[in-house]
Amino acid sequence: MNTWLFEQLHAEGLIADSSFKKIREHSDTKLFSLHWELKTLLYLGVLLLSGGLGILIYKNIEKIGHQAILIFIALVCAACFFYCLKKKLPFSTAKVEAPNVHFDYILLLGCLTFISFIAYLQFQYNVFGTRYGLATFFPMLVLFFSAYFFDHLGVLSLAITNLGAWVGITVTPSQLIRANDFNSSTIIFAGLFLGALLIALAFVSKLKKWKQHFQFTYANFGTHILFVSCLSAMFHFQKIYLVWFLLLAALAFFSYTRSIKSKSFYFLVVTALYTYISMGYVAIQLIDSIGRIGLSSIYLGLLYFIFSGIGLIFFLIRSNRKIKAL
Amino acid sequence: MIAYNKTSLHNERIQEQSTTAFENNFLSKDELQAIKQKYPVQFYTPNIFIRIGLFILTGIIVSFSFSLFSLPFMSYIENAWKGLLLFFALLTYAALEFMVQSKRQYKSGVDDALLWNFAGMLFGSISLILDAGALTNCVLAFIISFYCSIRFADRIMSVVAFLSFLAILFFLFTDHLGTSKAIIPFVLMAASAAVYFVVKNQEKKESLQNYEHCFTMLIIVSLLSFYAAGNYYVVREVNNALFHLTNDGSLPFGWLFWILTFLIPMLYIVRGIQKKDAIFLRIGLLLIAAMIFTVRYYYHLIPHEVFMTITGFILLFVSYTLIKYLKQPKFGFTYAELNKQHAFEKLQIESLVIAETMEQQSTPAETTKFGGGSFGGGGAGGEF
Repeated sequence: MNTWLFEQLHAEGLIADSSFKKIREHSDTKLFSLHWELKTLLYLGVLLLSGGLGILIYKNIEKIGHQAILIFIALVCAACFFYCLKKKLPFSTAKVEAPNVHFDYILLLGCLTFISFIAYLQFQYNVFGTRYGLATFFPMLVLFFSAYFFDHLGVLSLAITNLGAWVGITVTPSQLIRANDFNSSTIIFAGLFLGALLIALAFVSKLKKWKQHFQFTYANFGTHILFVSCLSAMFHFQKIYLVWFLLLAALAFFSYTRSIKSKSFYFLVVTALYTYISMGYVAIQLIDSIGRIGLSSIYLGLLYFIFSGIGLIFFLIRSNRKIKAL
Repeated sequence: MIAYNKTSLHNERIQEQSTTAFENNFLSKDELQAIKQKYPVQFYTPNIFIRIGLFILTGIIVSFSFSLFSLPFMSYIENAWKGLLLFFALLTYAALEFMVQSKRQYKSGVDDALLWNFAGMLFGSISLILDAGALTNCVLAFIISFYCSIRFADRIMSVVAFLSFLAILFFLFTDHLGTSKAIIPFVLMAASAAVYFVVKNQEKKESLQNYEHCFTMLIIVSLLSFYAAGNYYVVREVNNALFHLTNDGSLPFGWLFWILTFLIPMLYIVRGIQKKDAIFLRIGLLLIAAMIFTVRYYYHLIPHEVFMTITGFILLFVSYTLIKYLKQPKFGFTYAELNKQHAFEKLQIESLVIAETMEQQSTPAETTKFGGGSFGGGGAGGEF
């Protein structure tokens, strides 16, 4: 901070003597924080160490044996969860602070090692056979439970991605997975379902006050999945794209009112951009359906994009004011 | 000089500083309100997400407008399009000035997008019309980015200006002046140092306060380029790729560049600690990594994974002990977070680290396959 600037403000009588004294003292002590430097170094150290050890194990797998590694992973996982159980503060449906700095990282390590344990079992010993759904279902349960029980947003994100994988795998017949064919309509419907489910969960956590701070994570995943599914439905079911567009418009309206209400600039912009893409698609389809009018259809298209862009800019600026005025 | 309203820029700085002071609990809410009332900012600066949205949309509008604009000239587009691009660049500039001066857009996304579109199109069109060579291109880029830095105080523009300045020197000395090519690293180092000292000298001037962010960026890149110009790896590989000074690919005065490779990061860190200068300290730490990579590129003593494990362990140990040690502030250093509200700065650092990790996670599988044989080959070249 600039002391002479505050000196000036002080001379103008905008700052009281006591406040100015505090600022002076602060700039005189000149304490230098190494917080982020040290944290980055710590992080890098963990990364290098785990990466190096991982490769070492990978190279010497014959000498060590799979069982030994599995046991090691299980031990690490168990130790992490044991630590978290011991240290955690009592459960509550409100936000629970972590008891210390390391707690969150140790919980994350425990969850990650648990996922690796299951993956290792499946990969090496084919424990779940071809029932891939089961192999994602167990980690998902554990992750959701840990996210709520220990109150950890990162684990919640992991759990939601796992939920997505589970839904995706369950709805897709296994021969399709093997053929790597994900471009089917079932995936789109699954996406719509998943997105709606996540939005519903966001509402529930807000209304019932079950971990209210989880709301953003749910809403974020849900909104993106819903919009992307709607867009791909528009492209996939080309014949009835207008129906899907109406659904998307309804969704956009809903999302817009939510974002204004919750004062979220982020959701506002996300909604606006997805809507803009879908509107562009509809406009091109409409112009295309008019038929052969040669160059003028290109003019029409270009004009549409320019004016809709300008319109959207004004819309964003106005909504920005609206949110700020709230 | 600067296109934005100077009073508002000045007031914005006051508001920013006061808000920081308020967030640190030095000022009361009433005091902050009084300051904001006395020094109003009349810019339109929206929230960061809106800024991103406006940036994307403005970019879309500019590109579609250009297509619309050039559509009537379709039939003779091959001859005309460079001229059209130039003309459209100037139109974009007019729009930019209008937006900044009449509509008071400041860091709103609209002005950013117009600025970058203008600069890109102007550079592209003139470069194509002149059919320019490397040196001319660099001069062109320098003039445009320098003008934009002065007129709009854009940080990244000032970085572009600095880099094109170095490139001008590089091409001048390689292609046009008959001097020995071996002195180029020293020319570039001298230029970086000169820019650094000039900027350091001007930084505190009251009249140039509007450029403080540009100055910070310039300090960072000049420190980095000072190191890069003297780094053994950079000098050697550039020499081999462009000049073929020696037949066996070794570097004349190689020992000198080894000394620079080792010394500069140490000096940065020492200075960072002495002066409590975060920029020096962070760049020094970063360059230690560059130094290690340089050494390992030429001398492959132990396998990667062993090296990773050992460095990881050392880093873990050192940072953990320092964190424990600095729990209570010592010699003016502390581990505690001082201004908690500087969330954005943190966000950037953290995202950098995360982006790096993503890269690192994908590489190990491949490196194991290569086994380091290629590295050994490079080492042999260095010994000759």
